[in-house]
Amino acid sequence: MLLKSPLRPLMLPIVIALALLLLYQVLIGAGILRASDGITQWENNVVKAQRYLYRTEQPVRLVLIGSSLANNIKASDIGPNVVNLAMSGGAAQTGLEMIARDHATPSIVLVEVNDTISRQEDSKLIASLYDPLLYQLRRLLPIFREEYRPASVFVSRLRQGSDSESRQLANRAVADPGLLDAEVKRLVGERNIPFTPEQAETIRSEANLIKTQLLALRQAGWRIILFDLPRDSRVDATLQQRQVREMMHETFPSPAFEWLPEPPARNWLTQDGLHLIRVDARDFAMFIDDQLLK
Amino acid sequence: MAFTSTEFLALYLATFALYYLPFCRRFQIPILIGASFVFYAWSSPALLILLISSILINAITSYQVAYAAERPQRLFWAIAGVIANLSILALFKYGALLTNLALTIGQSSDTPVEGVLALLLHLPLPIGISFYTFEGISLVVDVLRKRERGFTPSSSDSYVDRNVFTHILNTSFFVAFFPHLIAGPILKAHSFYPQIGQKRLADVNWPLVFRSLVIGYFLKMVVADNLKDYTFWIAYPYYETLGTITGLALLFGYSVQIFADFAGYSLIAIGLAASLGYSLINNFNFPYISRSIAEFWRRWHISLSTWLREYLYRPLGGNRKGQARTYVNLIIVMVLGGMWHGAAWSYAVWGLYHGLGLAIERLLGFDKQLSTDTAAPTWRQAITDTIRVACVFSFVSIGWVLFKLPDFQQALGFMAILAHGTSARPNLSLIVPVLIFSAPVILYHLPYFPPLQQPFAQLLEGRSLAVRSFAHDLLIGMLLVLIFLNSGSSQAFIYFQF
Repeated sequence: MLLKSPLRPLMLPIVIALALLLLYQVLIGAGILRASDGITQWENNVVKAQRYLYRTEQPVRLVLIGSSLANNIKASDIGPNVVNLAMSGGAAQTGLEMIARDHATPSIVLVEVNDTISRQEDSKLIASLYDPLLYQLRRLLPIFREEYRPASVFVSRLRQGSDSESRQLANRAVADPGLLDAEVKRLVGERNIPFTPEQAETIRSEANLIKTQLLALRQAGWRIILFDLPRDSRVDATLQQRQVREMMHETFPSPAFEWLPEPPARNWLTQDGLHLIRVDARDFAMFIDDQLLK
Repeated sequence: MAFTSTEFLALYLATFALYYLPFCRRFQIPILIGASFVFYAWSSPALLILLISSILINAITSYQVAYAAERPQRLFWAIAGVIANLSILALFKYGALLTNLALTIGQSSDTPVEGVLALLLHLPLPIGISFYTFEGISLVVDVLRKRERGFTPSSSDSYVDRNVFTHILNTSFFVAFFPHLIAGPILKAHSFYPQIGQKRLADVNWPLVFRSLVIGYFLKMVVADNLKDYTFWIAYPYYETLGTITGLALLFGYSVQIFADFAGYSLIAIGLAASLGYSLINNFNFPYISRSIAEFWRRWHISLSTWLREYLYRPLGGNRKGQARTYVNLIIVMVLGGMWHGAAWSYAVWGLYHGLGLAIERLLGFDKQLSTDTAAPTWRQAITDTIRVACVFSFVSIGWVLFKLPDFQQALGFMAILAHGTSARPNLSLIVPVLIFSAPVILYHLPYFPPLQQPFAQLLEGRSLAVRSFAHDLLIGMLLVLIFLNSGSSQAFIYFQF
């Protein structure tokens, strides 16, 4: 019947597509093609989120959530069984929503709270992660996960060797002084004026939303620790930074909420006034680990 | 509702199933109108009122043009129809721009505005308004032209039914048919109305449907949606960190993205319409192999450029009123065509840029020097064609800067980066993915690139039909795989904003 169907000319391309998908799955299953961490900010976030959703390893000891500031910290620098769910260009609300939907065995969640929370939850990412059909498809067939996108796998392979960890470390060990000064100057200019009432209201309402999410997680058995990351001292001293610190400590007062102690007073180096350079991010990760061991 | 959304898939499948049910055949047009209204009203139902108003205005005025006994009456209704369409467009699309201009001229732009002026400044831009307004004008003008040529409305090839309700129904379908409603191709009454009728599933050209949909979705989801993650660097202030080479690579990527986005949409529209038994105009004909700006406009957004030619350039006198008038007409048409894209002066400047380009090209006679002989191009011809294609592509790409950066200061800032950023190191993490995602569009154009047409034709001629057919199926199969595995994060089609 199919041979006489008007749809017959479509059959061969579909069969070829299925065969190619199968071949790709075999190449991945056999370890010939290696997963990519993502080649864009959005992809990095999705890969990270999907790896958390479809993890098969031992229970997670610590989940780190927040923005690109916390994303700079390598989970392995804190210790084993640590997951960094901080999203570049995003904020803590997205990670909190994922943890709430995950129903995993409760452990520790480290939540970055600062002005980045005004960015709100990435609802597009959440919708794409939990789409009922796609969720199951990606669970059963890993080729449909972001980390196996052919272009990303190809580009990541090209980058291998030319971009080793040690070289990255060396490149970023010393911030570019010209870029740093220009960025800090811009940030200080922008942040030395008080928040408008609308901006302050957004931050407050998002903080209250986070508070609700945190209380629900705490009730489910999670230990919640709030923290902020060190920045360039000139940016840290701006009016908006002081305002947002006050707002956060008002909304999440200690001891009702557990805060990570202030990091050691030192000159934390950043690439752009906000994001720690790799070496200092590693030091901060070790500081977190020390505090958790106490 | 976007063609890439799951809601659309559900709506389309439900419509398709109902449409071809034997006992629903009599209601095919109402079924498609209903689906089109749902499609349009999905994100903002209130705007459906405007669409229906536009349909009614065009149905009534075109009916009057067709059946008015006297010529002056016909002319009155035709002018009324065109003015009504243009007024809707002016109010909703250009209301804010013109109000701002008036306030600036009146030197009261800093004082708070209230009442009608405030309303004009904050009117929503109804999606697809530029497209369906032009289609309405096409209907009224086509009916008038037909009457002027002596056709009576009762003649067999008339597309204004004697029954006014049937005509309203047909006009609703013509304007609102969902494949073309939001971003074209812009339909012309004379090519669409004759197609209206009952359709059978057995008559569907499935290979065309399948090919159009696969290539269309591939161009949109794999090429355009991935490129947008890199071309956003052209936005302010990100471009300030770029150098010349990276900036040029990103601009190249943006040219590819805008093509893939819009050509992809048009192909999806063509495929969807074909699955329902309707043929839409091919909107893109490999525009980036053009050897002149005039040729580019014969290949890019063909439904708009032919609309402008038929309903604006020719009525203005076209090239029949001497050299000077031809240049003026070209520039007027291109400036208005530019403004059609958006209510910002940058679009007018973009149109002026193309209009001047066309006028200068015509003045220098470049548009007449194109070789159409692809049988045996000489080396000299091949080199000339290659240089011409590169020049036209560069000209068009520089024009796209105004699309990406409608703020003149920012557009000039980006151009300054291209001119002075030669010392900056190329950013390979941006350049390499841009080249990878642009490659399919380059390959798509390559067989039609004049110096390569002959070798490609020879390559195909030497192969049997079975081999060619298998190569085609393999290619389509690969595109399908990439749609499943490598689609970018979805984004609205660029042309939705127009």
